[in-house]
Amino acid sequence: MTAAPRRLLVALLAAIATTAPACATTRPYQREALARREMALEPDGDEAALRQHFLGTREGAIGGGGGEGGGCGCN
Amino acid sequence: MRLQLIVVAAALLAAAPAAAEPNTLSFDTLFYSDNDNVLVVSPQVAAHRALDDAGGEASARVAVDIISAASVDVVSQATSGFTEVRKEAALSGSLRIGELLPAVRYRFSDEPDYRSHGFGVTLSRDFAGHDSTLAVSFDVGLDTVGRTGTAFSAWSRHLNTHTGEVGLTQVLGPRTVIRGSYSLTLQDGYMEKPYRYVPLFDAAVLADLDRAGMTVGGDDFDTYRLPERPPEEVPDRRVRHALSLRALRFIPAIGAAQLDYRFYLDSWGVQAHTVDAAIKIPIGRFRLDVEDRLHYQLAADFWARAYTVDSDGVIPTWRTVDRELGTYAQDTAFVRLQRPFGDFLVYAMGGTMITRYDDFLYLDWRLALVSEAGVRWDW
Repeated sequence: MTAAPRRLLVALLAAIATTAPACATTRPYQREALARREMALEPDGDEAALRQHFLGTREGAIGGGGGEGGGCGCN
Repeated sequence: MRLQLIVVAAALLAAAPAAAEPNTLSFDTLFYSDNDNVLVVSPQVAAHRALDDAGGEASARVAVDIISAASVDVVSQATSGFTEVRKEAALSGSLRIGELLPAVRYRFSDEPDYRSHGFGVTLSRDFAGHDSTLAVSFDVGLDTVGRTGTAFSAWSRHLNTHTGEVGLTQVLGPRTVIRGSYSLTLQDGYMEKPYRYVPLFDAAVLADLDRAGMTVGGDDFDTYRLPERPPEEVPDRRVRHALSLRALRFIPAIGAAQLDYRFYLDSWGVQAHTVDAAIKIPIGRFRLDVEDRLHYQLAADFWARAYTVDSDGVIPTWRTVDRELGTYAQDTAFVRLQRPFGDFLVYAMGGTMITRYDDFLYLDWRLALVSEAGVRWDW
């Protein structure tokens, strides 16, 4: 494994290690803000897919947002 | 194929048991226009039917890209431009089984010189009283690249893409949720564009221009280039890594603030940083979203503004004029407004995309106007 992917893996493990454990469970009555529409991580999948395809054909990077592949719709 | 997809989609949606609301029908259209003479109109229709109360659903989507382009990429190849239509259909389904949510999807895309089949599966599982969700997905893309006006049976090349992704979503408290993911993409096959030919230059001529304080560019490259113009050639294998983080926090009296960051690198030497910040503000029955996305990337190892022929007449093995393999910075900013009307939700978005190319032979910058509008019906 070259240095760059190893750094990526270390960063991912660090992110998981710092966020996953020891989080107190959020009670249902504490979820009012989390349940709001604007707090959805993927608020509208179809609208997001359309925009992700548009961005994906104009950025040299992929991954992390879905919506790749399927021809470019460009030249 | 299109008829088969429609029949399967109709069967999936009709066969779904009457379950929790909502079912959704949506229509969206995106418009893109830039100062490089590219115009794209992308309408899509999508339908969803819930299968349970916890994320299970059947869905179908049909999208079209209508592209009219006379960009510098196109006209520099001595062609006058083109108009093309790309059609895409997608089906997906998921069903909650206890803490597990398995999902499957299929996508077909067709344009005169490109066909693509995509298959994918995702398995996600909730932990810790739904505060944590771990998702693992795998996608395969089987693409066939052709040439407009030539039958696929007469000339075609293949590109296979495999993508694996693992992601963790974590509620950090009553107002904060984050998600981290890592994706690995392996691509094998033809990744050139069959219409791209790369201009070559004599190194001595470029040196003379440099001494005179001149740089060869889009207006004069034809004057200085050598007669040979070989086709684009890039490696047949590409390994791509992306690490993404998203944080979403509710701010009382304002709304939701969202921050995304993606670090990307690949085996061709491209490295990219993408930062996307958004704020979503409820204003009465309206919601206003303001978003800015900054993408900066470093060029592939074999990128050159002007490829030169060495003294023995040997041309570079890898050569490209694909601007997305160069160094550039791109900022996309937009404002989106939505409002519900009974069971309907209507939205409109408008924005700009500004791209600054550091070292692209044909173009230094690009300005694009982007707009999108849509309506969603929940019942």
